[in-house]
This record gives sequence, C-alpha cells and structure tokens, in this order.
Amino acid sequence: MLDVQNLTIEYTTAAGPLRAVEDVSFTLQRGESLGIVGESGCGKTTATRALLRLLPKNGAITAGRILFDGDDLVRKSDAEIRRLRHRHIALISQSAMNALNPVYTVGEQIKEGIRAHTRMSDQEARARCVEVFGLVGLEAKRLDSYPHQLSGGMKQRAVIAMALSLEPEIIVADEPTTALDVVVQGRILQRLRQIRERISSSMIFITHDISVVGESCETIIVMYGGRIMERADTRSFFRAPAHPYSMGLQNAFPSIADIGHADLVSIPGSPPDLLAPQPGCRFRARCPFADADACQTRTPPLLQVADRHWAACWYTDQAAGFRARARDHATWRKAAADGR
Amino acid sequence: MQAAQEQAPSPASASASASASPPPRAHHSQSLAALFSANLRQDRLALTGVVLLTFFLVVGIFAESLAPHGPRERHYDDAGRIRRLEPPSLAHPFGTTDVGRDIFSQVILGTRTALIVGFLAALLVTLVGAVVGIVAGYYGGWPDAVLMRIVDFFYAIPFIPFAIVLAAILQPSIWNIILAVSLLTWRTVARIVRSQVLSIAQRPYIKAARVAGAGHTRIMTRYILPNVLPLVLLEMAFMVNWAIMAEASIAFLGFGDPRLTSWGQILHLNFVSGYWRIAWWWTVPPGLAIILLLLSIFFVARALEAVVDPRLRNR
Amino acid sequence: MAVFVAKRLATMILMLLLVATMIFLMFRTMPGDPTASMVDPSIPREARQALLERYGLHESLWTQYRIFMADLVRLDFGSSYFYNRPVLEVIGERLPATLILMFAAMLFAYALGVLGGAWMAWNRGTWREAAGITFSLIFRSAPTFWVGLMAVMLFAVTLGWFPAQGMRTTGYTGDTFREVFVSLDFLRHLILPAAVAGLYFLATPLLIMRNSMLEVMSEDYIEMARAKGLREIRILYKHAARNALLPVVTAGALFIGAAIGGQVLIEVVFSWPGLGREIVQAVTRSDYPLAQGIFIIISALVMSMNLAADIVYGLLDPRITYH
Repeated sequence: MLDVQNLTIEYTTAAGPLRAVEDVSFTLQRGESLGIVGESGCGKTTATRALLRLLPKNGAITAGRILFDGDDLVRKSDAEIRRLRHRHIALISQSAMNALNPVYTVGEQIKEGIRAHTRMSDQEARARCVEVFGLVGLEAKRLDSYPHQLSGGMKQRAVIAMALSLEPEIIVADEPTTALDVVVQGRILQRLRQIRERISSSMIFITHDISVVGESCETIIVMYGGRIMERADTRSFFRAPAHPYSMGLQNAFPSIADIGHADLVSIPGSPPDLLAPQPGCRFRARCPFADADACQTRTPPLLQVADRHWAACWYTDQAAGFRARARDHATWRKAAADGR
Repeated sequence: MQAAQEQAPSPASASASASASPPPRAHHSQSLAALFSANLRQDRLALTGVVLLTFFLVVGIFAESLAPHGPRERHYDDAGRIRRLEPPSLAHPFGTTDVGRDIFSQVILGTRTALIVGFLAALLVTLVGAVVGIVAGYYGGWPDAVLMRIVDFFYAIPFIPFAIVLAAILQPSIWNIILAVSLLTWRTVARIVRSQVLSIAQRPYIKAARVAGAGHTRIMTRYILPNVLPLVLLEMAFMVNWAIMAEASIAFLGFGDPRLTSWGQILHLNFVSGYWRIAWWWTVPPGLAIILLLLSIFFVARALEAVVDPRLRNR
Repeated sequence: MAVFVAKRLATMILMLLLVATMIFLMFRTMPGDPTASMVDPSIPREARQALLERYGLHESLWTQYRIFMADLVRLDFGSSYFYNRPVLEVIGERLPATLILMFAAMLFAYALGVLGGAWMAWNRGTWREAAGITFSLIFRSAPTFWVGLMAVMLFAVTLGWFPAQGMRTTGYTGDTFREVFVSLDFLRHLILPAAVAGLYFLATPLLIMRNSMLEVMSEDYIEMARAKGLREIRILYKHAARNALLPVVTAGALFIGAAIGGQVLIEVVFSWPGLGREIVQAVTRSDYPLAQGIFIIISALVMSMNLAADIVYGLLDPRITYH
C-alpha cells in the first residue's frame, strides 16, 4: 500500500545543506505495523513527516518517491495532499501535551478534523467523536473539556482518538508516549495495541525506545545518521540483530524481563554531523568493529542476512561474533576512546 | 488573572519582544560585549544604529562649537531687514524662523538637550526600577505586595497630563521634566525586572548561595544583579527613547524649559506662530532629528536584545 | 467572574481616590498664591477675598481636602474658574469627542496591527517583513504631534483632501450628540487625526502580534492542524491568530496609559475639542478645578480600559480563571 523508494531529504541551513534523510526505502502493507527506531536526529521524524509532506519550510525532498496506492505523494499538489492528510494518513504527534490547541475544546478540535474531510453534520461528527472517545477509553463528557483540564494521559488518548476519527489507512505515531510517565506510557501502548486489533489501519511507530517496538510492531527499521542501518522482521531482529548499532541499542533498552539482571550498556559518543560529507558507514566513529578501510570510505548498502532481514554493514557475516562482544561494556568504551 | 499580568510585556519593550522573560544566563560583561559586536557585524540595521547614535553623541557634545549662531541671535539682510521665514540657503541651511533665527543652530543645540534628558532620565528610571524590581522579586511576601500595588498605582496615572500639571506647578525646567519622567516610568522597569528576578530566585545556585550563608544583600548584588543586568540595559535603551519623546512632547505643548533650546521647543514656537503650514523647513528638521535619534537607539536596542534573548538571535 | 469584576471595581475606586488625593496635594502645595493666576492681581482686596471664599480657598488644607473628597464622592468636581460652570458639565461635553477619537485610532491600529503582524510573521525572513518592522519603528520614533503637523501640511493644506482642524466645519453649531457626531462632515474631520494617532499606536500591536505569531507557529498544535488537513488560511486565522492575540490584548491594556498622552498631543495639533486639549488649556489658564477633574476622569478611563482588557483576555483564553 505504501512504498517509499530511495527517499532523500535535505534542509537548507545557515551552515549549508544538511542531508537529514538519505536513500531510505521501505514498504508498508495494509494492517501492518512498522517501528522506526533511532536516536534523536537520526532522521526518523523527518522521514515520516515527509509522508504527510509536513516538512519545515527549509526542508525539501530532493530524491525518491513515496507511492501511496500507486500515486507518488512527492508530486501531488498541496490541495491533493491536504485532502489526503488525516483522512488517509493521520498523525499522532510527538508531544501530546502541546498537540491540542489550548483555546478550543477537545471535541471542537476533533470535529474540525472530521468536518474538513467529510460532509457530516455537526451532530454526526459529534456522534463520531463519542465513538472514538469510547475506543480510547475516555468519557464522552470529556469532549467539552479544554486541553488544560485533562491529564497528560487523557490528552494523549484524545490525540489518538483524533487520529482514529476518520479510520485512516495509515496512522503515524511519533513518539506517542515520551512525554508521559512510565505507568501511563504502558497503559497507552496497551490501548494502542488493542485498538490496532479492532481497526484495519496500518501503523508507523516512531520511537527511540527499542522495547516499545518489540512489543507493538511486526517490522522494525533502525535508522542512524539519516540512513537505514537495519530493516527486519521484529522477531528475527530481536533474535539476532545484524548491525553493530542495533546491538548497542538493544543493550541500551533491556526488555522489562531483563531489568535488574543485565548491565545496561549505552553507546558512547554522539551521532555524526550531517552537515559534513559522510564517506563510509555513518556509524563508523562509534562502531567498535569498524575497520580502517571499507567502513571509512564506502557506504554499505542494505544486504540481506536472513529471510526478511537486511543490514547495512560490511561485516554481516561476522554478526554472531559481534553480538557476543557487544554485551561487554569494555567493547564500547574502547570504541569511544579510539573514535576520539 | 495574575498570570496574565505577569506575561505582559512593557509598553516600551513591546516594540521588540513579545515575552518579557528571556531565558537568563549569567553573562560576563565581556562576553556580552563580544556577542554584541559579533551581532553588529551581521545585522546591518544595528550597525547603522551605532553609527547614527555616535554621530548624534558627537554633535551633542560639541554642539556649542558646531552651531554657527546663537539660538536667539536674529539675522538681518544687507538692507538691515530681519531675515524672517527664509527657506534653506547656504547661510542658513535649515532656513530661518519668523523672527529671523537660524534653525540649523537651534537643531544642533537641541541635540544636546535631547541627549541630556534622555540619558539622565533613563538612568534614574532604570536605577529606581531595578532596585524596586530586585527587592520585590527577591523578598516576595509583603514587600513585594506593597511595591507592586505602588506600581499598579503609577500605571493608572496618565503621563502627559501628569507632566504638564507638574511643569505648571513647579517651574518649567529641564529638571522637572526629568523628574516627571522618572516619577512615572520606573514602574515599567520594576515590573519587568521583578518577573525576571522571580524566575532567577528559584535557581539552584541561588539556593546554594543561601545555604552557604550568603547574606541577602550579597545574593542580590553578586548573584541576581549580574543576571538581570542585560535586561536592565535593554530597558534603559527603551527608556532613553521614551524620555526624549516625553521631553519633546511636553516642550511642544509649551511646558518646556524656556531657557533651553530643544527640538520640542522649536516645534512649539513653530506651531504657535502658525507658520508651520507654510514654513516646512522650520517643521521638518527637528522632527527628522527626533526620528533618526530614536530609530538609531531602537536599532541598537534590537541588537542588544538579540544578545539578551538567545531565542531571537536568528531572526 | 462577577466577583472578579466587583473586586476589580472596588480596587479601581480606591485607586481613583488615591489619584484624587495626589492631584489635590499637587495643586494645593504649589508655591505662591493659587489665586494670583486665577484672578486679575489688580482687583481690590475685598473682591479677591470674596472670590477666595467662593471657591473655599480660605479654609485650611485639611478642611479643603475633606470638602474636596466629599464632593468627589458625590461626583461633584467643583466649578471651572474659566467657564464658570460645573466641571462635570464641561467634561461631559468634551468626553465623547475624546472617546470617539481614541476608539477610532485604536480600531485603526489594532485592525492593521493584528492583520499586519500575522502577515509579517507569515512572510518571515523576507524583505516584506523587514520593511514592515522598519515602517512601524519609524512611526514609533516619530513624535505624534510632528506627524500630525506633517499630515495637516500635506493632506489638508497642500492637497486639500481633509479639513485641517476641528471636529466640524467652522461656523457649524450642533447641540445634541446626534447633530454633532453623526454626520459625514464629522467623519471627514475624524479621519486624519485618527489615522495619525493610529499610526503611532500601530507599532505595539503589529510587532507583538508578529513575535507572538512566530512563537505560536512553531507550536505543535499548528503542525497538528496541518496534519489534520486544514486549509492554511484557517490554520493562520483560527488556530494561530487566536492564540497569538493573547499577548497583544495584554500589551494593549498597558499601552493605554501612554496612548492617552499621545491623544493629548493629537487633540492640540488638530484643535480637536476633547479632554486632552481642554486639560492643556486648563493648566495654561490655571483653571485648577477643571484640570483636576479631567485628570481624574482620564485616570478612570485608563483603569477601566485595563479592566476591559483583562476581561477580554479571559474570554479569549479558557485557561484563565477569575479569582
């Protein structure tokens, strides 16, 4: 249904062009749930904003296609895109706290979205609001509340309800729970999973927390420095990550079961400066396994490592050995020291 | 309702910033100056402002030597007749008044008056405002409540009527104008500084200083003052403008210092003579001088503001 | 809400009494004899004494103050020396002219400022925005009275488009409110002073609206509105402008105190028969009861505008609760 091909996005900045997303390709089937994982600044948000053509003024899609049911969204007019937003592709914004306009009631804001795309009367739209509020577990009377009268978790659920209101084909959830405390996070995620079972929408889940993806998505994409590092079936990915960066991420976010047992290993260092030209692998500076030759000079393409499992690393054949060494703190610390 | 009041920008600073609480960081005066000069290189308006302001300062300081004639000196032509209402010429670049006085000299001498009033009044206003604002914001409680009610009271008094009443009761003089401006305007600075201090007083290092046994005076002068100083400087720039405008307005209404030449007074005489409808050379120069001086200070203040408020830096 | 307004009104009355006390003390503690300027010094001593007694000026300061305040509470502002009529009557005649000019100017400034500020934010970083900022700063730097003089010189004297001064064409005498203010002639006289005053006020709403719009436009709910597929114009005016208006309203309230000063100057330049021009004349003529009365009324005007702005603010922002 959705087919993103070789998407490249650049920002014009005072310091020069910044390539935030480079050569990103993926597909999304009807009903599928896809998780995009990476640190902040890795291009995951930019890539998904491009699906809705919601890039800031200084950002532009410089290459690639976004096929939605066969139509290229990159070439559509502004008016066509506007009709597509919300109705077909809806967004659950990053910070639910601020995603609602403080001067209108929640109900007004949901109705506004419904009525912008349908011919529903005010009453019909209202009825639909009550329906989606039920879906996310909010009482109908909350529709008449202003955002400041709701708790963080309620606001997030209201935003989710808004995204569901027109039963879009695709829902893009951008870090839907980061602003919330852990307990509420868990409840919201569970709610989202339940909803997914009841409606047919596909979902793109953007997060920096890899454990969220493990629990909610069938497919996972790991991004770093604007490029896809690894793309895999979730089960295959968690069983055997093939990219050193993924191994680092998995160590940084242990699953709930692991807490208290395993040591947390974080990846030292910071993401690459995308203003500078990037020869070689994006992850080379922080990678404990990078060599002095290929990794520094040639960008690795996505190579198939298993059924429905690709990784952009020159040494996917040594992945098993890497996985064993990646569990040790010393491996990462040494890489950080060498990197500098 | 209090929240709404707190967010209110002052009328003076309103021209440049919507929010009265720029994120404060402890600037060293050196880095402040460095940032400012870096900003000058980028912002052409700010550079124009600095050049213009310097020009006015030079003219103001050397006004007496620069003015070719005395402000009251009457000029006669070869036939001994008064050169009344002459349009600009080489001898009188801005022409003459209805009684044959040289407008060019008057405008030059008016520069000094404007600068004296502007800077003295602004200094007084910011001094009083900053002290009140810091004390109210730092101590909170009843001193804050009392001081803020006084601030509210002064907000309710209309400035020009107050100033002309004051000028009529006391003798009209430049000092009374400075007094009137100071009496009514410190409130603006006090309010802005107070809200800034309120946010600074919550900082960990202030609490740490208190725990370490620093006295109130020490905390206010050593920890809080450096943090509000950039904001105070910015407000002072706006106050200079406000004071210059106030002096011109009061003088225009005829309540200015009769012994001193000022731009407002030139326009007052121009207006009451009735010749302003025809003698454009008499009306235009003092007005343009006011605009250029105030504009130059606005431009400088804008550059200063970008230094004070990092969020504005890239605009 | 009602409690809030009642409380504010009570504070306002208290403040007004304080303002009245201040202005009373200012006039009574001035050096010299208050009658010196009021009556011809050459008139006989007895006549002068009679006048003093007539205006109650022979009493002690404290007695005078008590009488003054007691009269004030009954809305009796005394009698004008110059007009020889009750002050309140004179004020009543002048007030409509001032209010109409003020509201016309505010309307002009706010309509242009809010729309223009939103437009400037929309055109951020372009030459249009830079031109808008420079334009408004020029008018903020220009003395109102000077702009008034220039406007009369250009549009009235040279081009003859508008009348140069006054509220009605010379020779016209109207008695009722309707006769004086409801006419095309009045409107023609209003345009120039209202536009000049408006241009001076303009910078405040324009620049605040611009800054506030820029801030609001980076808010998440604006992106969300876009993601909802709303039209840009709807996002601009329904979602962004409504929020951006809040600081404009507050700033406007605080600006009114200064704006009334500008109003005085405009009235003088355009010979507009309002309170501002009257207070200047009253002070010049040493007509203290009248000056006093106008001063108090103008203060009351400033305070009620502040209160009105607070109420409007509350209506615009549901987060504000009155307590």
